[in-house]
Order: sequence, then C-alpha cells, then structure tokens
Amino acid sequence: MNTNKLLTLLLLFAALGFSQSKQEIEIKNLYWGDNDSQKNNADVPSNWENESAVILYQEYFYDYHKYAKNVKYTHAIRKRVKLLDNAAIKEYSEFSFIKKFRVNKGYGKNGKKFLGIKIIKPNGDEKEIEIDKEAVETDTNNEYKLAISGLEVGDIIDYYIHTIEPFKQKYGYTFKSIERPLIDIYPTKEFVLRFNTENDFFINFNTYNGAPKLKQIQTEKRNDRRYELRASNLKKSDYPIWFNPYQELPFFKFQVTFARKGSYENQIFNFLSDDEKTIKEKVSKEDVLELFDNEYGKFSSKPTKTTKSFGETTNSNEELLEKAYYYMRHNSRNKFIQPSIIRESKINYDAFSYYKNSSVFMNSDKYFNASFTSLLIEYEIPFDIIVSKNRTGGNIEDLLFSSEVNTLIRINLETPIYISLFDTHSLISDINPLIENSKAYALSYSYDDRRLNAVNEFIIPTSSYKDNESFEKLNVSLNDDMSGIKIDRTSSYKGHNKTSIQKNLLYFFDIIGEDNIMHKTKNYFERVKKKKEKEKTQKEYNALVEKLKKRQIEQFNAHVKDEYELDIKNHSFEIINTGRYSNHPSFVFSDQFEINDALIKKAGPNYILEIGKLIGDQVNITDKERHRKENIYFNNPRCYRNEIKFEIPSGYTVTGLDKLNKSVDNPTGAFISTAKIKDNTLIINTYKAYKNNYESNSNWNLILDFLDAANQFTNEKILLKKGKSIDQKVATKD
Amino acid sequence: MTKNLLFICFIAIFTSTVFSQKKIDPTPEDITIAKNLKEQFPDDDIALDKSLDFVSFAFNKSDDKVTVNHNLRESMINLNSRSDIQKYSFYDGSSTITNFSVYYKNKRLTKFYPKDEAYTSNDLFHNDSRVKYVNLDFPQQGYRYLTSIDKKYNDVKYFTKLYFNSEYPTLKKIIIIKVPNWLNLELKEMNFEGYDIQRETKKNEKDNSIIYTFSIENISAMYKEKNSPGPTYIYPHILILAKSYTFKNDTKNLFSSTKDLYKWYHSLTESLKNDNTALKSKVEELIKNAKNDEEKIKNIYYWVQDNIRYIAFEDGIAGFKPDEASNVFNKKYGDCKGMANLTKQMLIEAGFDARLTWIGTKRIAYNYSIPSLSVDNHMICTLLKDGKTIFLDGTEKFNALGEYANRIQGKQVLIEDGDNFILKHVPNNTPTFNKQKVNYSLVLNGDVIEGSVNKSFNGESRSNLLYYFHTLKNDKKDSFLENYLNRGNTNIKVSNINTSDLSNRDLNIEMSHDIAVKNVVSNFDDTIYIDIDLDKEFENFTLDNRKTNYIFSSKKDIESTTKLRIPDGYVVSSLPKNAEISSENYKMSINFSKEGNAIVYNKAFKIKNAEIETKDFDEWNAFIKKLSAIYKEQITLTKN
Repeated sequence: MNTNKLLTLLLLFAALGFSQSKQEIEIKNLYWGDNDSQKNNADVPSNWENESAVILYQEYFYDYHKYAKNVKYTHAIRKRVKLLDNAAIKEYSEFSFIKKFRVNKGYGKNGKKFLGIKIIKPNGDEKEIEIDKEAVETDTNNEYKLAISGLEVGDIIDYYIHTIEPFKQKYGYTFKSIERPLIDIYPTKEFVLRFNTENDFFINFNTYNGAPKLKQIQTEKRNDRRYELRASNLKKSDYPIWFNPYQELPFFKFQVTFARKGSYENQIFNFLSDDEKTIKEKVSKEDVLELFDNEYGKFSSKPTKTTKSFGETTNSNEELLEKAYYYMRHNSRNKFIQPSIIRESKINYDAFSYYKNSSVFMNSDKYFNASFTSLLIEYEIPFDIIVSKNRTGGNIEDLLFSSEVNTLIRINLETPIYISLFDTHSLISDINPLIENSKAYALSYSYDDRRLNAVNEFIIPTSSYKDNESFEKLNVSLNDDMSGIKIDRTSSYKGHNKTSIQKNLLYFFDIIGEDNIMHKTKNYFERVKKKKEKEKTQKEYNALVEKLKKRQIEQFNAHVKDEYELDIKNHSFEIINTGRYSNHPSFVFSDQFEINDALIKKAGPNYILEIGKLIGDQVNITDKERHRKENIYFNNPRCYRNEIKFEIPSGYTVTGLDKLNKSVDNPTGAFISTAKIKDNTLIINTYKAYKNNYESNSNWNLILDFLDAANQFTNEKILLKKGKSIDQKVATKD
Repeated sequence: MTKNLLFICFIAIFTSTVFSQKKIDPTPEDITIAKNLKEQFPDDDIALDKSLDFVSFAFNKSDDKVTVNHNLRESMINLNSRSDIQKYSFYDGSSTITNFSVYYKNKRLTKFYPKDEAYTSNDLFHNDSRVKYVNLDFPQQGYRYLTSIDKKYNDVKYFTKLYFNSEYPTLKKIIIIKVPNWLNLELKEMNFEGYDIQRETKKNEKDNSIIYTFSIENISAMYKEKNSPGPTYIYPHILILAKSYTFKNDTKNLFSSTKDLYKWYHSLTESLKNDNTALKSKVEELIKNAKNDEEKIKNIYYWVQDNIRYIAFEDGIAGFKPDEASNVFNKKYGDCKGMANLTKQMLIEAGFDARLTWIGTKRIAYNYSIPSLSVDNHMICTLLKDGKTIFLDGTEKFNALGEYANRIQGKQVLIEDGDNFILKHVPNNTPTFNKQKVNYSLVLNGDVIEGSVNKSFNGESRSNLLYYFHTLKNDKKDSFLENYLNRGNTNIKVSNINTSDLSNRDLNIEMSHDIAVKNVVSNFDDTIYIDIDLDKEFENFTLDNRKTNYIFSSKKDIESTTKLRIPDGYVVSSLPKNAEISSENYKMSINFSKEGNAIVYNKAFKIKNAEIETKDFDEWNAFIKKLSAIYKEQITLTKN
C-alpha cells in the first residue's frame, strides 16, 4: 500500500476522531460565537448574592421548518448559571444525555442532540468541556453520563442542549403543547424565548399572569416568522404547599400545528387561527362550539344491544343511565383486568384468547362520549357536551388548544347528571375535582338539528365539603398493664376522599367477584373449557392472589403508620364495602391494631394519655409558611370526622376534658371537637373541614385558625387518675 | 398426506406440552417440602435444596495468567404461594459469563434468556461491572428451577473468596476446588468455627490434581440487616490465595506474600507520570502565607477536602490504579485513590514526605498478613514528618488534620516505601473525642418551658454536622439551623442562635440559643406534669430479631444536663426513676435529682466501640426498655 495514502487516511481519521464536526461547530457558534450577547454577563445583582445559584441567562428556542415532505423541528435550551455554593455545584455537576434517537413524530428519522458546556472562572478564563472525551457511555442504549470537571464555587456554568428532530409528514402534524413558568427555583436575571416558523405552521401562543407578550421580529424573508419574549429580574419561587404555579406565576404556553394548505387544515382537531400569519391568542366559546360540532357533529354511533335493552327493563331514565354506565364500566374496562393479570404474571400468555369477539377496551373521552350519547339519542334524552379545563393549568378563558380540554356529558334530567369516562372504581356521578366549581362551556345537542348548536358559559357544580368525607370510628382500650393501646376501628370514605384510598388499598381480587355477580358475566375461569388447563391456571392464579394478599396487608399497614406516624402491631383488616356502586357509595373497611411504646406516659401513680394523637397526624404549619404570600389551592373541599370511644380503665378517673373541647368555625373551614363521659367511656367527636377548593391569601389566617386548632388538639392529653371510678360520675356532667 | 402429517405433528406437540407440564408441576411431596421449609425459613421466598460450586484452574500461555473457571449449579424451590425473583450474576472486565441457563425440574431447558445490563450503583459514577439476569416466576408453592452459571476469570488474583451462604437458605452447599499440581494455592478457612463444615481432600491420579471438597447442610441466607458488620466478619468463607505456579521447575510468584501484593500495587503507582505542573501554582498559593508547616499541610489537606468532589470511575485497572494528580486537580473530582494521590503530590510540591497508602476500612475483617486484593478497599495519603505519621483522607470532608473517621480507625495500613512497604495502624480514638454536650437551663412560664441551651460538638459529631451544613443551599442555611435545633417540631421555638465559626474545622462547634417549648407541660387539678426530655436519645432503640452486631457510624459520647427551676409554691411529688448500665461496649446512665430549688436531670451515653454485640442484646434491650419507660414518665409538681 502506498505509504502516503495510509498516512493521509490516518490523519483524516485522527482529525475526525478529535475535532468537532462542521455541524457541531455551527451549532456552537449559534450560542457561543462572536455574536454571543451573553459573553460578558457574569455579575450577580447584589440582592441575590446570598442565593445558592443565579440564572444569569436562560433561553428557550423553538424552530419549525419544512422542506417538501420533510419537517425539521429544532428545540434548544441555553442556560448560564452562576454557582454560589456547594449545593449548586452538586446540582450542575453531572449530566446524562443521549446523542442520537429515533424521532417519534410522523415518519420519524434519526434525531440528534448537541450538548455544549463551558465553565467561566471568576477571572474570566473560559474552559470548554471536551464532552466526547469525558463522557462515558452507560449502556448500549446510546446513553452518556458526564461528570463536569473543574467546577468550583464562584464559577459560571454555561451550557446548551440543541436537539434536531427531522421527520416526514405529508399532510400535517400537531406538536405537543409546551407550558412553562418563567420562574425557576433560582432567581433569573434574563429570560428569553425565541420562536421561528414559516408558512403552514399555525401557532397558538399566549402569556399569562403578567408575563410579557410575545413580539414579532421583522425578517427579510416573507415566509420566515420570528418571535421573541423577553423578561428580566425574575425572583425565584419556593413552590409552597397548596400552590398552583399556573394560577400564580407568569407563564407562557404554546402549541404549533403543521398543516399543509387544503389538505390537513380542516381535518385537524384543534383551535387554529384563520391564517397562519396570525397567532391564535384566545379561543372563544364559539370556536369551541365550531370545533366540537365538527368533531361530534355526526353523532352516528349506535348503542349496543345490551345497553339499548336496559331501556326496556328500567323504570326511569336515571335508572337506565346508571345501569348503562356500570355495564360499560365493566364490559369495556374491568372485564379485562383478570386476563391482563393472568397474562402479566405469565400464568397464560394467551389469556385474552378467551375474550375474542368481545367489546374493546375504552380509554378515550371521545369514544366514551360517542358511545354514551348514542344511547341518550336512542331514548331522546336531552344532553349537552361540557367542555371544561383543569384548574391546575389555568382557567377556561385561557383555553388555547384542544389537548387542554376535559369533556363530559351533562344529561339534562330533573337533576342534571354529569357523566365522564369511567375508571375502575368510579361512580356515575363522579366529577373530576379539578374541574368542579370552574367556568366551562355547555354545548347543547339539538334533537331538531341533530348536532351541537348552541354554547353557553356556566359553572360546573362543586361538591360540598360534606360530600367528601372521611369518617373513622375508633373503639380504644388500654392493655391491663397500661403499656399499650388497642384500637378497633371502622373507616368510611366517600366522595373525593375515597378515590386515592380506594386506588391504594383495593386489589383486583376485591372487585372482580362483585362485578361479575352484578353484571351476570363469566369470570376468566368460567370461560376456560379444558378441565386440565382450568385447574392449572386456577391453581396458579390462587397462588398469585395469596401472595398479593400479603402485599395488601403490608399496604394497609403502611397506610395506618402514615396516618398516625406511629409504629403499629398485630394489624388485621376487612373490607366491608368497596364503595363502587351508587347504592353503596362509601368505601368502608374495619381494622384492628395495637400501638405500643407510645402515647401513654407514667406520672407517679397516674397516667397521661396523648389521646389527641388518635385523630391522626395533622398539618403542621411552620413559621415560614405562616408568612405565605400566595393564594391557596386545594384539590377539593373535604371533611374529616372522628369518633373515639375510650374505655376508661377500671380504678381510674379522667381529668382534662376541657382542652378536648375546641371550636373554630369560619368561612374557610372548621375544627370542632367535643368530649364527654358516658358510663365508663370517654366519647370524643372531632370534625375538621376545608370548606372550599380555593382561598385568597387574605383568608390564610382564617385557614391557620382551624389548622392550628386541629394541630393543637393532637397535642392534648388527658390524665388517668388512680382513684375510685365512682367519682367519675360526680366529677363530670353529660 | 400432508394434512395427516400436520395433524400428527399437532397432536405430538399438544401431548408433549401437556405431558411436560405434568412433569414440571410440583408434586405433593414438593409441596410438603416447601411447606416445611417455609416453617424453617419464614422470611425467605426461595430455598436452594442444593448448591454446588466447582472451581478449577488453567494457564493462559498468551498472557502468562492463571485463569479460573467457576461453575455454579443450583436447585431452587419456591417456599411461598408464588414468588417472582431475579437470578443474577455479575461480571466485569476481568471475567466473563460463558453460560447462564435455567432448567425446569425435569431438566428441560426453559425459555428464559438472560438479559445483560450495565450494573449501576449510587456509590460509583461509572464502573465496568455488568450483570446477567433472568426474571424467574415460580407460579406455585413447591415449584422448582435448576440453574447453571459458568463464569471465567482471566486472572486468578481477581478471584478472591467463596462464601457458603447466599441470598437464599441452602439445604446442602458443596464447594469443590480442583487445584492442579503446578499451582501453589492456599485455601484459607475463615469463620469456620461454629459451623459443621465437612472437608475432604482427594488426590486425582489422572491429572495430578488435588480435589478439595467442603460441604455444609442447612445454612441460612445472608442476613438482610442494616448496620451490620461486613460479610467477611460474619459468614464462613474460603479465601483463595494463589501464591505461585511452576512449570518445568520454573516457579513464578503470584501473591505469595504481602510483598508480592505490594509489588503489584507499586507497579501501578510507579507507572504514574506525576507531572505536577498544573498544580504547582495552587500549592504555592496555599502555602505562601502559612505561618508554619502545620498550617501548610492543613491548607493543602483542607483544599482537597473542599474542592475535590467524590466521583468514582471503576473501570478495569482504574479500580486499582490512582488517577494522575494533575487530572484530579484539573477535573476537581476523583475517587479515594485520586484524592490520595493529589494530596500526596501537592504535599510533595510543598516539600513534605507524603506517601500513598492502602487500607481496608472496618467493613473488611482482614489485615495485611493476607496477600489478597480483598484485604483493602480504600486509599489515603500518609505524611511522614519529624518521626510522626499522619494520615490524610481527602474523602472525609471536614475532618480536621490528625482526626480519623471511625471507619478507618484501628485498621492496618500499607504505606509505600520505594520497593519496600511500611505497615502501621491508624490510631483509635476514644469515644470522648466525639463528645456531644448539651446544657438546658429552664424555667416554667405558665404551660411553656423557657430557657437557654448550650451545645457543643467534637470529633465526628462535629465533622458530620459541618459537612451536612455545607451541602445546603446558601439561602437555606439559616432555616436549617433553626430546624436542626427544634428538630422540625413546631412546639419548639428557637431564637437568638449563636454558633462558633462553622467554616473552621479545627474548632469544636459551640452553639447557644434560647428556647420556648409548648405542649410538654400539662396542668391538671393544681398538679403540673412535665415531659422534660426534648431529645430522648436511644428511645425504643431495641435490637429485636437481629442476628448480627449493630454497628454505629462512629463512637458516641453524649452528655446532657437539664436544670429546671421549681416554680414557687410547688414541690416535687414524683421524679422518674434513675437507671444505669455498663459493659465493655457501652456505658449509659440517666439520673434525676433535686438540688436546691431545681430539678437536675443528667444523661450520659457512651458507645465505646461504635458497636453493640449480639451477646449484649438481651441486656441492651432490657436497658433500652427501661430508658424508654423513663422517657415516658412525667415529673410531677404539686402545690404545697
């Protein structure tokens, strides 16, 4: 071989191996090139010198372009952060990233990520991290990890992550929406959002809560559209408890839709502006009506034979709807739980073969609405489609894209019923707590036009705190040697208080039986015909259930420990009602357990019992939280009741009832407790309510009043005084 | 015809699956065995009714290395109604897994195909360890699998020991080691006392090897207990010490003695370039204004502690060879070896005699009488000065010069000394070195206890607190002190906090503050009940159902005095009882008395060796129960 050629090849190889590609250099120059406006941005304003870190500059960049059938989506973040302590060093000391990936949009091609990191020392010296040299590949998955070298307190870390996602899409594509508060956990000196598009890209964009508006930048090319948003001197937020950043902090949100003229524009389910040159900033109720009328307009679904037949066996529309709802919940969802468990646990990989020719699993609002309204139309029951918006993301007036929408059906009977897509345990009347008490649009279905033909604003009704209740009844006694406490209790939960506890504590084996009986359907094993296979699967399924029952008791145990923040022993439980049907809407269970080595304190010959702790751990507000400036956002109004019946040990009397009687009741909430002695039992009733789902900051002190009362109650004790118990009746009045 | 053939095939497949299904389902006997085993091992999901290690050796001429083949054959049985486990095996740059198979009990191969992943650990940023594993489901009680894993080590020095215990209890464990006559190998029996381990040695005439067989029955799973001593203390195991090999009368040493071990370590450190150009100016800056040598050393040592982050790359030889000091200096991160080497080179630049030093932390039971890579797991730097030996550990943040973390105290070190080495021990500190003292001076104001508090922290109690404090965000540091002092308890209000200089690790921490505590005083019928103790150290700290010694992170010496003024018009009607206990590992006392118009409450807790031994558990638990009961007792004051 020609030596010269070999040398050239080697040199070329070396050059490839150690230098950056042309594209890498181009991208680097975008951020750190001669025109970098941030080159000299190094100073921290004096009022932020005691912070952990200060974001000197933060830029988000989004670019949407098309070339024939190809779309190129580029997005990037650049951050320049002054690190002022070890905690900040730790925060920015390690990066993990992928370099190449498959784009999951349209006909995705290979996407690329470019990462650049440099460190600027206090004396201005700059050092760029040699990422290819220093990063290590973690596994075959093209994932890299990088420990940032040379980082010290006082340094500035300046980095960009530039991502290019090319894909092919003939007609159009709706990009995922992006919402971002301008406020970080560190204060920010300067925030910039840059945004480039061209023809055929529709933009929905707006800013909220005082964030500056997006400005259009003039460009030389007619097709090119450039926009920019700038904000500076942004304080940090600590994100306190009961906080909603999208109601309190300045933020922007946007969504871009790629729609080639004439081909996709009309098919797309989103609120597009009439002209791609105009940014859509607001969605009116008429826009909503138009979009949903188009989408739902045909209402061409037909009810199934079964749901249709309910009309013949029920006496009222209410009964018909209820029957149909629970039937659909079973037939289009819960029926599939058993085979999926059997498949997942490898008992039978082919478990779904016994469910062929069956209904399909229903998990979209649209599909549910179409199915359910078909029944309503069949029986000519009046209804509206309700378009609402989850409160945590802002108000309905701020609606900007269809993906933000929650839809439900309002059935206009004497008392309207709100119905939405079910989950495993949901009741027909359940409304998502995050849309309760919020303004929404009602799109009326007209039986004359057979379409949605009118829109009205209204407020979705809210559940009352009384509807969302947890009620615990405790029978409490002491061991003979006064060393421990025995508790026998019944807990019931209803309304929104039920949802999470049902999800945590109920297992599939608690509900499959009742659903099959209710709907007279076959369980998995009744579908298997072959005797041997049936026996084997049943045996293995039983073994799985036995194993999971152990896990369930552990979960119950953890739930109680969490509730009291105490160690408990000898715990057993029984589910009394799953609370999954309208006729038994409360989830009820009973359990027994013991608390040792806590709550009882010896005082000479007497004992002090920390009886207040038996209502469970209460919210405890710190001094810092007392000075909160933000409004208060709860998921939903709710209340908690306790009835504690304490068997007074014989030979003892009880002193200290006065402190167990508390009463705070104001428009925001309440904590009310009473204590009395009847026969030989101390009976305590407590009641705590959060009355609303939102309170303005001016009410924070009212909230603190009842929170503090409840917390103080947990600190209250009674004295068990050695002496004749006959005195008890004299000492107290009923 | 084709149709018929198809039909026959179908029947054959169908019958064979039904037939084999029967063969792999648990028999009634299996179920009975599983039930009995569950009673014997209630905490375990799986048992091994047989586990066999077969170890043999070979010689790789291409790189002059003795290689090891380790074959593991196990038979597993499910003790629960159902179990889902992961069966796994690790390997790295010095080893390969050549076979990983799972069989049904009828010896037919299952379809479990092992996954192969990089092993990630929170302690190591990057390492070359990988793991092969299968997710095994045991669908019924008594269900069985057989596993077969073959692993090859490229170099015998990385194959250091074999344990009898594993993750699961084992009914019969057999270890067979076949040693060829050309290999001089010592099998050192560790922790065999108290175990009925049968040994057998046989000569294999065919290939002139010796076959050593060790077996034991009914051995428990490795304990899943926190704060346990390292496994080399508690489980019987065999250390594999390959000393030399001989071919054609030519003997070559492997690790025949500690000298060989050192020689290998030294060969790695000798290959370092030690180009200190990068760090010269930093050293000059650090020592330029130092008043004396001690200050120079401190400035360098503390700079390394404060500025080098602990990030470990354990990739191949990097697990044993320190990174260049200049690399660590430039990167501002490194592992223990990198920090030790940087400390050494900076001290050398400053004109001191500093050496690299190998050490096994307290987690390892061995010392350097054993020539094996399993002796050590850590590296520090030793400074030799004026006849004194000072150890410097850059990974111990906020350790003052001359102070040693409990984890290395008393351990033997191997210090480099050219072609030779020096063996020494890290000094042991007394618990008093870590003394924590607190004084409360309290009065009653209605139902609130008020007063002032003084606290001091020494030794490791000080360095731990300083380290934690310095990892906090600047803007959280003030609230941290408040939260630390009121323990996050809103019943305790802390004010007027004063502290000593929390950036100076040479000083003990002194703190003082005022305090007001509510909800610890109850007033019933003119009698006052006081829950006086705000700290309640060791409350409910019983060591129940535990098989291994309890190891604390450091020795403890806590002294607490509370003085409470008795309010006018009241007398003390009852005080909690006193209690004390003493043994070679601890000395604890709690004492209430009345002095003049005050109640004086003293506590003194000393954990002398940072350990509670299992033999002490009964006595310890009885005392802790008594202590916890005393904590629950109230001081009672009645109106006179």
